[in-house]
Amino acid sequence: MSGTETLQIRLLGGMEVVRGGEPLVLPPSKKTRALLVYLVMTGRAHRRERLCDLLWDVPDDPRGALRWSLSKLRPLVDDPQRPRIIAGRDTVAFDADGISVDLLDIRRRLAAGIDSASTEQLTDLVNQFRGEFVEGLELPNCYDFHAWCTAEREEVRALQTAILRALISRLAARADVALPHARALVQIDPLSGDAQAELLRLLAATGRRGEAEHQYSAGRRLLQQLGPDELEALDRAWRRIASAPADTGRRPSLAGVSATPSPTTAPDFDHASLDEPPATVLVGRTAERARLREMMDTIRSQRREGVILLKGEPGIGKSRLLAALVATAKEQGATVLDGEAFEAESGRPYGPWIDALRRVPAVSVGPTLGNELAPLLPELGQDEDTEPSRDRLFGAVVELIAARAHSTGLVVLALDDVQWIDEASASLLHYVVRMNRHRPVMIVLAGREGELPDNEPMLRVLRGMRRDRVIDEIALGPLGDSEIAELVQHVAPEIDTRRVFAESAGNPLFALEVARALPHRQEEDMPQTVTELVRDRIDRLPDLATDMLRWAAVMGVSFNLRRLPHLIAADLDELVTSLEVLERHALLRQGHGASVADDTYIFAHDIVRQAVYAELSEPRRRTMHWRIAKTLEKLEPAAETVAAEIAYHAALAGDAGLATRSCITAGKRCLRLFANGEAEALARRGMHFAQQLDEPVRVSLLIELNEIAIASRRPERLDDAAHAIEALAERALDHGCMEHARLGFHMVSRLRWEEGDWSDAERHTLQAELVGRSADPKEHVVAMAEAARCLARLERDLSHAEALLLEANALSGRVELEHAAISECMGILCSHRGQFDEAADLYRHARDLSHRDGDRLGEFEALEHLVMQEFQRGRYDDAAALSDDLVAIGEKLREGSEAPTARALAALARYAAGEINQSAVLETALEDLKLADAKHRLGYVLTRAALIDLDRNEAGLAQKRATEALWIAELLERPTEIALAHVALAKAAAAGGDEEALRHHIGALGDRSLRDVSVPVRQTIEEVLADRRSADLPAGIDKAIRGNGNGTDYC
Amino acid sequence: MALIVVERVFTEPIVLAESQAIADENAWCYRLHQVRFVLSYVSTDGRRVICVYEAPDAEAVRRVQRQTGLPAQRVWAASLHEAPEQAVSLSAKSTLEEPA
Repeated sequence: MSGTETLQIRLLGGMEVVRGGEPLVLPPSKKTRALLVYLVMTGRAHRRERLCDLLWDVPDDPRGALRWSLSKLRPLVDDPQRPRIIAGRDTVAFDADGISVDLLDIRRRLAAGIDSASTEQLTDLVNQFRGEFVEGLELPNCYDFHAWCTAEREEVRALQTAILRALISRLAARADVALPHARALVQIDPLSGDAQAELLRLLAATGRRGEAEHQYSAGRRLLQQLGPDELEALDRAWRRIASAPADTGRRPSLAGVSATPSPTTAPDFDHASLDEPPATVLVGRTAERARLREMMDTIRSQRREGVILLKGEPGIGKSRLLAALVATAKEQGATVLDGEAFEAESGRPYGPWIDALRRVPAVSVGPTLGNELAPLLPELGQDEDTEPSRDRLFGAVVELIAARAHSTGLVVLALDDVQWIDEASASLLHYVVRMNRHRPVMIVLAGREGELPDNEPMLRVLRGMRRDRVIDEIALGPLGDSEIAELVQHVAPEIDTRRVFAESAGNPLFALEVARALPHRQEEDMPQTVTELVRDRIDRLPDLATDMLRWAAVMGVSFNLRRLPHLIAADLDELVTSLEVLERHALLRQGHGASVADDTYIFAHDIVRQAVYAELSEPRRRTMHWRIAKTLEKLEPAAETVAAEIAYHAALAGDAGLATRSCITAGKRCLRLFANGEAEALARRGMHFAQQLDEPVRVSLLIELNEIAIASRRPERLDDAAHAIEALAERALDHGCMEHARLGFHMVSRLRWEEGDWSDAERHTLQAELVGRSADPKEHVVAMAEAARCLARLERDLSHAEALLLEANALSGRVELEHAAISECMGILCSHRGQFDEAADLYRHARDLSHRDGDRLGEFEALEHLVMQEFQRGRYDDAAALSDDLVAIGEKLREGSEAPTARALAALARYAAGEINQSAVLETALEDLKLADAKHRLGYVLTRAALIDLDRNEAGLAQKRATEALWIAELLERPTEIALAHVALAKAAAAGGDEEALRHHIGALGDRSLRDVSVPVRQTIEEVLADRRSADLPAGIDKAIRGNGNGTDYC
Repeated sequence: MALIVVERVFTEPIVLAESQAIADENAWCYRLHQVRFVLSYVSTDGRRVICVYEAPDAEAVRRVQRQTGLPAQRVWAASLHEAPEQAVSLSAKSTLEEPA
């Protein structure tokens, strides 16, 4: 392969891939480009899962997204004879052999150290730093990638700083040659007082005292944030300059070192350019406009829905065309709902929808609908009696659109920049599209075609609409030369429009920037990209306006004016004046959200924001993000709506604690808004940050984050999730974080059990009573264990029983306490799940512990469970043997129902084993049990006796006993016993030919209460019903029978 | 629900406030077993007490008694027979409050 054909990958500055000296067109998808950078820079094979985690924060088919990206990279980097992307079944690597990668080349050349390189070599190397490492490739929501990229940028910055410092030092005697390097150093390391001071010295040494003064003013404002120490070098340098005789016409205006030059002392500006009118004219697009008008007419006249996607590259004019459509629709009296998505806003669920829905005047939304929409529009007020739900919310949005379509004849829903739309908004959009097919609703979406594949939820919606053939797509291409000429005439009437067209290749945004730049530039130094053009324009702005633009760029595409005075040292008047300058320059525009109309400003285009943001050095960005996060936290500490914003800024500032806490707040809000996708993403982000925190804060926050994650999506591997959370809860216990430990145990139990029929209020009451009962840890363990056992015995809220049990068990190890209630309760729960062997071991252990403690009643109860379990397993001989032991213990317990119970169980075991003469014994024992008034025990024996009666063809007796048992079970609210009594009665009815009774009892088995029936009895029910399935089985029985297959294996 | 009577004998005279505190601590247990306190008769020497509860059965009351640890010599289900002309409001005579 010839040298000119060699593939070059440039990462220092904007990413470029060059072949044969020609830059190739990169894939528009940022994630695809990020993937290439990562593979190239890491230089090794990565597991596919790792790459998916790195870049595809989506639950659905991340491997598919990875495959898609690889398919876009192959044509870019593969040589005909040599593939560069080496993708195996499990791993992916990049073969960089023989390829030039600028950063790797520099590192190789400096392998022996900077000192051993000549000044010429260093000068050559430093020129290769065209900008920040992969400038503009921001993926703030892919935190792993972002962390990796930030670390690389830090290293690159350190390398560049070291080279620049070496050069400045070596060229100390040649101020004019050293000056560009000093400027570059301040650019990348603005918070270094030394670097700022050195620049001042060189500026003064080269006769640039005016610029030195300006630089001092700007540098001081910046370093003030860091404290007096950082200012010292700068102030010293300035004192030296100020005390030296001036060799230009201008002297520094400062009287003392503490004074700061005002912004008015900045260098001269071309003030004529400030009065440039904003470019709002729409030119060209005749065919597209005609088509949209025609569609609008058709939708209105035929009263049916239409969906249109306007797609094209950034700056091609999608938003402008959308704005024109919106204006036309308003003129025609249509209801217009418009909103836009912003890149930094994921985490603010339904953002574009909230803006769009606020277009409808609140007074025209009735109280009922307002109540349903309140989760999105809290100003409409929410009735506390109504339980909000996602279905209700989505239904209300459709209803609102339907009402407006009916009253105004047409609704236009215009959503811009859908490549950044959040998952919740995408879901709502899909729902609205599906539910309005026969209404006059025009849905117009605009998005960057190349970046849409990065947004899986939106892509899914588009795929669905394409499949259903309900979407028309309009691709916007470049404007023609005459159109570009017409466009730029409005900005610069005297301009050479042919040149503008040639430079911009018909992209209107690019063309406007070229037109603005041309009067200030010579042909040879004309910037080559839109970003450079925008930057060039920004460089000519007053200081305060530039400052404001920087803060705005760090805040995001849209920002609130009220926050600025907290960030910039200027009064509101000055800020408003600067804002006007930026508006006139068409860099910012006023937001059009109805609720925030006066305070929100938006970048004229995201490219402008990117250009400003990319110019900021990494340390400076971090400082600014941190100040914004802290300011938001201080200004709106209780406002959940800003939590996602705080999380975003705190993350980019490296404040893991604040980021994690904010993710929790924002995640909980997302759950309340049914934005489960966003909630899950926030939980995962929070977990990422939490890893950087110290214990015990980390473990507590991880538990809260897991709670959000579980609530947003039930884990696929329940047992793994439960074990992981249990381990966290144990660690929380170790740290004494009781509340979080308890929360963890509750989460584990909720994962393993369906919700019981207890209300949360009842649970909290019990919890509060137990917590308040005793400060002694041992007594506390006993209280919890006994409460858990009580719930388990009564078969009430087993989920809560397990939560208490887990906590009691974990604590008991720490206070070296073994309590029979824990083992017994564990046994009951295992038995409920059909884990008989484990349960038997636990019951025996409980019996031993009770025996040790002299608790004869406890001993009896543990043994009673064992006997009952043997009945369940059909081992009547074993049951009989154990019953004899039970009788012996029962006789020693004078009061209570134990002795008659033991006798009844012993008689039942022998009756089941076929001893006919036990029938009378059983009857006597049952009478004794009735006298003792122990209904649950009586009911238990009656049901089993009835089932045995049926085996003996004594249906009448069985029916009598089971009827009484059913009455008892219903009185005591025992789900398993109720179900089993119905089984016995169904069998008795079948045997007696009573079809009506049979249907009644079969129907009862479909009742919801079956949810809590034990697994073994559910199996019994299934066996009974198996031969009746072909008959008229009520719907829902199968589900009810099989619904609760939970399991824990701590037994 | 049935009326359940609990007979208690104390070696020392009962302190009602202490008994009430024990009952309050175990309010969750009363609730779970659907046991509701109705009234008590306390002997003048404070050593004998008859408590009446409403509950599904005597066994539920026994379990609650075991949980609270209060002495209960006998627990039995009962029916109420009042002289019509001398009917009294039982609850008006109660000296122990229902557990919180």
